[in-house]
Amino acid sequence: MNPLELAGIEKRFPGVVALDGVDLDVRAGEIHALVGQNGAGKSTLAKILTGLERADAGTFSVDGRRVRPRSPAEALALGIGAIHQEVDLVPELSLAENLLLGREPLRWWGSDRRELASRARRALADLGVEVDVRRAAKDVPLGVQQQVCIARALSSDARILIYDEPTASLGSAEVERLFAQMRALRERGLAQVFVAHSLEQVFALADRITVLRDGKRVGTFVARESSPHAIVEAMLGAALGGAPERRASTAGHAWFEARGLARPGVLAPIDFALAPGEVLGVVGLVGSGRTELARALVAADPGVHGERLVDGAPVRVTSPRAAARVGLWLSPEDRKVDGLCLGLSVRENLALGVQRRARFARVSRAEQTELAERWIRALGIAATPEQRVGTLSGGNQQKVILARLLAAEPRLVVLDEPTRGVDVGAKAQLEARIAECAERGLSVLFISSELDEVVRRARRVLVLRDRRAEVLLVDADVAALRRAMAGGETAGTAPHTMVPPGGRDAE
Amino acid sequence: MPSERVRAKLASFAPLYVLLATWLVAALTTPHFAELAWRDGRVVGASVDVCVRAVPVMLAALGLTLVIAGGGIDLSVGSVLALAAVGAARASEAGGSAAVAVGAAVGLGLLVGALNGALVVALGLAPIVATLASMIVVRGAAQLAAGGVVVPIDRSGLVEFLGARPAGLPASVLLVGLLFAAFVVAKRGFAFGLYIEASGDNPRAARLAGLPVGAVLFATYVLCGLASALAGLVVASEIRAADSASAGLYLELDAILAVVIGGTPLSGGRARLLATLVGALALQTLATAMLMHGLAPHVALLVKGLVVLVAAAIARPSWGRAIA
Amino acid sequence: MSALRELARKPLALSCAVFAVLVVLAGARYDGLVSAAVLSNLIEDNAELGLAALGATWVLIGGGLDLSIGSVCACAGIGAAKLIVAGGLDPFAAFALVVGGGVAFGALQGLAIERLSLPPFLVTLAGLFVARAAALSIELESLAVSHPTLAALGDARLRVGELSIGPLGLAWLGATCLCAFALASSRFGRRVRAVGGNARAALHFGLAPARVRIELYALSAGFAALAGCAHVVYGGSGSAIAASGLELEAIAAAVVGGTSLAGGVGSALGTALGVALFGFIQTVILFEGTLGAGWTRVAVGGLFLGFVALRKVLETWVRR
Repeated sequence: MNPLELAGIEKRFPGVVALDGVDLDVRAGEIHALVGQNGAGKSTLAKILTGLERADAGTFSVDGRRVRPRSPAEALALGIGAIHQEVDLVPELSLAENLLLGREPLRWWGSDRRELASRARRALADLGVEVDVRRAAKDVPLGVQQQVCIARALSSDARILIYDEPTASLGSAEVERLFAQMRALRERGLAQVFVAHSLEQVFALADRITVLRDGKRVGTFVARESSPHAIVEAMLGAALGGAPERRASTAGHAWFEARGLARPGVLAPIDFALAPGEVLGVVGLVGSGRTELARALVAADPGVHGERLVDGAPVRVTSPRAAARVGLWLSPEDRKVDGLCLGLSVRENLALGVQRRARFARVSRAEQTELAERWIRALGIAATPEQRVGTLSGGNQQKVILARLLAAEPRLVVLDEPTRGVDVGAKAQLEARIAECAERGLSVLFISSELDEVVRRARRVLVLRDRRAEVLLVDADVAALRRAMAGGETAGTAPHTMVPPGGRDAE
Repeated sequence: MPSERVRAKLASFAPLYVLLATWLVAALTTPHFAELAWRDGRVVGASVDVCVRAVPVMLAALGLTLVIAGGGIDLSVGSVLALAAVGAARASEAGGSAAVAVGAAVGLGLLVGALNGALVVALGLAPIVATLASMIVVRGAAQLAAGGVVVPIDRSGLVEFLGARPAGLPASVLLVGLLFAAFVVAKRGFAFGLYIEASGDNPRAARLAGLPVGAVLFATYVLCGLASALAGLVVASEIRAADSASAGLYLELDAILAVVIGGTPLSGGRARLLATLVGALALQTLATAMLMHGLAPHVALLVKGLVVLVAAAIARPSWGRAIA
Repeated sequence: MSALRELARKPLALSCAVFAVLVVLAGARYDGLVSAAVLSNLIEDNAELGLAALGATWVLIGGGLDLSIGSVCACAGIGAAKLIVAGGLDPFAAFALVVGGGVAFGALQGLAIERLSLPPFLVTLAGLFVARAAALSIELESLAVSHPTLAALGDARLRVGELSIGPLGLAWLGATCLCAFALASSRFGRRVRAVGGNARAALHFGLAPARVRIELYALSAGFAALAGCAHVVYGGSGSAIAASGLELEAIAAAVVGGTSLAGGVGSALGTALGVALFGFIQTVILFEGTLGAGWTRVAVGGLFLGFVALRKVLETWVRR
């Protein structure tokens, strides 16, 4: 008898069959990965497991007993804890309060703060985390917040843990730490369900893998006897072409140059130059200054120092609007917060891109629709022009941003984590589009935590560490990038040519 | 899903249903309510009366629609109305022509609007706080300008100007049409509408997309000041006087109500100008019908409260509640 | 300097500092302004607003909005007066009844908002109309109340040094302390902050955000009704047209005290400070002598604006 067994689960939303007869069994002491493209039904299944949604048909049993949780509270009472995609703590409450919310130790005059803190400290110490539990959640790093979520689930005696894309907002060190913990919990005999996008992570962690496609279960694979290639084929339902090759090196003179780009206290001065059609990779750990560099380039925040030269002449860039005027556009890291107007339609979001050139003059509705349809076709966006962007999946939202950038006919685009939270199929499409644009002479600043992506796309890679430029590597491999990101041992990594930041190609 | 789309479409006409329902109930229960007649070269009847009485709220609500669509709010519309009315009255008292009076009122409206815009955009104050303060200050300024008395408008072209009835319709109603047309042209004919809606929906994303968010939001407050000032002109010319203490009192509540019944979400991101006018008319139909019935003021308030609830319930699917 | 910045990072501390500057400036201009007598009066005069503002604070922290506060206050006031005068009830029994009624009314509004998913702005605006209508239907004219208990209450004073605080001031200060404690360390307070700060997380944590919000609307209306009772004790009469616009003053006081309109953040002490600021501005105007209605408005609005603007400027300076 397995701790968690689902059989024939069905779930319909108006007009969509989200899950169609899905079976799932999770054993004690197992990490069971759940993979599939966006819209395959992973998130819906996770929501049913955690009580956020209820299945329309099928059986759901915990330890052989039929259950039907109607809320997260009921799921928790059944021993099912959840760790969600976006770390969700209440930002203003302390870590201890977040950890024990709803289960605080009480005295007659109110809650017992000392007991609260000590219980929270114990729960976190269990996971090997040392932190001041009286600090507000908003004041600690995301990784620590994630640990609090796990501790929260564990401290309520959960024996089944559901992780819904838990690494989406974590840096690589934090991901490692999370994985170590999940392995430790496996030793303790917990049943864990891991909903994930990254197959690298799935194979590093999972014992078995269930693949979903279009709301149906394609199959369950034993990780040790399977391969990423086989899983991707199962996810896509088709044979996969070869991975896109790295492009040949670009010749050409640098048209854009940044000199001493800096924001006091946030980013130390950085120099770099870009040729037409060049993709410059930027990597670094979370907090290394990647996003800060991206935002500084288009003056998204006040107080940016340094010079930007376009075709050899300095340009004045004091706002994103001014940056757009000289052809610099940013696709921001957090697409929901900074990137899109979620309440507006695809057409309207795309119109924002071309509108800048038209000033206040009208871009007719017909032109807007035509524009939207053209880009929907070009990037394979699964949406209609009038669909609200907030209803699209992450991958399609990212494509809308990319389309908006490209519709504006930019000269340099800064892509900050363009593939985060995007499924495999869409990722490959995005990558191919970026490569196409580069071929047509667009320069790209490509920021990503997925190092293999960076290595595939960019010949030169700027490595940031501690908010300054560490080194500029040319033709480096993933391992070399990792070492440079960690710092220290970059010298003497023989096969890689080292160029000081700001230098030109080393040919 | 076609059925879903049809439902959404039907729900988006919610303000119209409210207007029709109130009008129908009023027409069925109130004698002579539905009658229209042509007398002395003008159209008369309760429905015309409703339109005329709704003018101040319609004007202010048009301006507020833009502000609210941009993610803001303006509580000072009633005070601006009073200040503009006093300004116009003072100007015509001093012997100014109708044009001077109109200019004074409009200038004052633009000035207060610019002040509100500066407080919100340049200083970064919460709109509700900034405009609450200016609501108090501007009302005080209106009282100072009036010198503590009701300023009469005796011999002025202003009254004739706005009292005229071209094509048998009151000039004030035509003024609403004019402002509405101007706003629609600004919204649709230029990118202004898209700019406001994008800025209201997500100002951070709009800024990164290269939009002049600050300038756009500033403009919405200025236009709202202008609209409220026009409302002030209408009120002053109608009662042939400017009462600084009571003119436009609680106008902000009625105007916001009209905007929201019209389906413009208070969280911003959508501007529905025509629906706002419909919402204002629905409110006034209700008020006029209750007046003709001779309902006591407290019963009228109760009915108004209930109608607001019903309107909210009908419009529910189109609220565009928090998106996942 | 950095310590100063750290201090100024807290909205409450910032409000305190700006308020202190205002007091020093005004104190230098008017003799006898900064005195125990003035403070005593300030507390007693503003208890009504103070109680209403506490309710507004709770609702705002929970991520809601209540526009019906003023009407509920008036309705409770006239209702209590009627119960005492026409019903012959003991004032305290009358007060208990109207506060209970207020709580029920607030809960109804909360139910409409949460169960029918209607926007709080519209529902409480409808509540504003309905409660005012109820008040007017109880009595159109102002109703004077004379009762020995009320007379005794009106004369009662607690003397602490040079301060002399009446029952209303005590009620306000007591309620403020109670709310401050409840917000900081009661289970309910923590739930409210969780729901206002991140409703999705609260739901995932197994809390019921809808229920918490319904309780909050009930609480807010309860405080508004309490403010209505305070009005009766203070003025010796109830009036159906009293307290119009009280909701805006209450919200403004809460916001001045550092409560966020977006929910999740706020404090009862900050709200008390906001109320004190309004009271202080009124006192300053009183000291100025015979100001007309116009000048009074300009002064109140101007000082309020000056306060929030100055705080905003400091806040931006701190952030840099």
